[in-house]
Amino acid sequence: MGKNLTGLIILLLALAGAGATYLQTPPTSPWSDAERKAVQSLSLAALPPLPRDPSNAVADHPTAQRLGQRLFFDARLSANGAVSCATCHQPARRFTDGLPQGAGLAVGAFNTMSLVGAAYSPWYFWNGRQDSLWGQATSPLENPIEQGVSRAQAVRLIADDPIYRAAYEALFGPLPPLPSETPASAREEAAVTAAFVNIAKAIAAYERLLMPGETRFDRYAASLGEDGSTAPDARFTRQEAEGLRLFIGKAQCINCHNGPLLTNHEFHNTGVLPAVGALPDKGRAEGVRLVLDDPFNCFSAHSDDPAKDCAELRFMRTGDDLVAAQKTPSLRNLEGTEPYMHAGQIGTLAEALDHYNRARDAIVGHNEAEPLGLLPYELKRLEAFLNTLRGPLATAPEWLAPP
Amino acid sequence: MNALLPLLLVALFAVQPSASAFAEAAWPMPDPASSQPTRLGRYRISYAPTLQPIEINRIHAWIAQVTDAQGNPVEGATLGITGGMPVHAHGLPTAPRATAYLGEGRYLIEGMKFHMGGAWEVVLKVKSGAGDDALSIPLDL
Repeated sequence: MGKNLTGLIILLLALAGAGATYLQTPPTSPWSDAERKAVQSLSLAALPPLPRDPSNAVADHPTAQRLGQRLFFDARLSANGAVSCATCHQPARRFTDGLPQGAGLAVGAFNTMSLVGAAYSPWYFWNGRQDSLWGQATSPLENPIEQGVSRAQAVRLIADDPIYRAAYEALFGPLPPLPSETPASAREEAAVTAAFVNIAKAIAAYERLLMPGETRFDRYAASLGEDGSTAPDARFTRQEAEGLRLFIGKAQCINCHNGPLLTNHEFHNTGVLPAVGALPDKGRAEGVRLVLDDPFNCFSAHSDDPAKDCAELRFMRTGDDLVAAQKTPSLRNLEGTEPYMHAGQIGTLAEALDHYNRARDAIVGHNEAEPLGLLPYELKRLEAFLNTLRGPLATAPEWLAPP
Repeated sequence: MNALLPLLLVALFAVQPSASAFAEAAWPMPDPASSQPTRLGRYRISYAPTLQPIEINRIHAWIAQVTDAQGNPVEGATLGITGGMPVHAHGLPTAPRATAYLGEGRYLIEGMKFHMGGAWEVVLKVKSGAGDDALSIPLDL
């Protein structure tokens, strides 16, 4: 009896070992040079250093970063004293909120976009209606359904809080006098607007620190040898490796989810249905118009860049295919950031993959995606690969909470 | 305020992007030896991107040098730029255009961008006294 039991245990251990070995084996065929190049183009190792933002003179100033961090978490910057940037952009949820649509003073129409790596993008919001990180930061502050403060209220908070005031004046010089009576003169209003923009620039300086950290995928890509071998501690399961092969090949995900942030920062109509009960969103077609009219865009006098090259804005395109086109989001750190899509219409990764696999006709505009015809096991493989894109933030923990 | 108005106007014009500011930069020179004939043979075009090698998702400029069939620089031409990915049936993510004439048949084309890897086609259309013609440039990114 004892002998038999020992034999059984040995047999079970051998089977488990064989199973584990099978699961750990590299892909059945090694990567081609082109495939390996594609894999490594998605790796964080390929991410260039964050470019300077000449439109924001304090973009990389330590005092601005600290001031921005305080402001980011400060609910006093809202009409009801209860909503801060961090209400929707929660550090623990990769700077999203887990809701279909963001909720500040009221529930909005759009899913909260992550801020991690956002500083690399030329466009902000799902429709790209703003073209700088600081321009973006002005918007929720004033939006009556988000934080809903007036420019003067925001500036008054800075004036009344000694820590804010000292940091602000060290960065930007004296605060403007706040208009004592309404309506303020045009000159007073302009001074308040300039100070309000400075507040947004400090918040942007903080947001520039929010960067994605290394994931299992990045370790895999970094150690991927020409023969398809990887370092022992960087192995993918066969499921994950084949998912990656689909991602860069047959499933065509890499067309839009490219580069180290797995986004091309562009706008695509992929036939996502509007949220239940909502009208279809006009998407980039409206964003193009809004960003050109925006008082805080790259052309504006509030930009600190004397050269004002503004190439993205000057050569922005229009066209019917931008109707209902939304910005490609990053695929890094998808866990905890569901639901997905511009209004949180899709709840899980499996449903998102099913959406692209079917690629039904768009109800507004034209769906750029085409049916993929992937089988269920292939969709599972893709999902396994996407789950290797989980990782910590590269940002030090001290920045991920109120100071 | 009235006294400030001229200052404001000056400031406004001072921040407008001007071709002369761009012309001062060191632009890459297209290699005439690499020039290709346009479809109808009316011109030859050589080009040099400011980003070499071209990377996806980065806006950049191209210099295109246009000559007649004999190699003489063509001045005063109107250039049009279109392009896209034939396999995906979509165009460029931007609307590039020629923004300055740099002399010797060289034209500055700004706003070039490619947002996917794969096979692209850029079409340079030339319009001048010698007639309309175009060059199709295949790119593999």
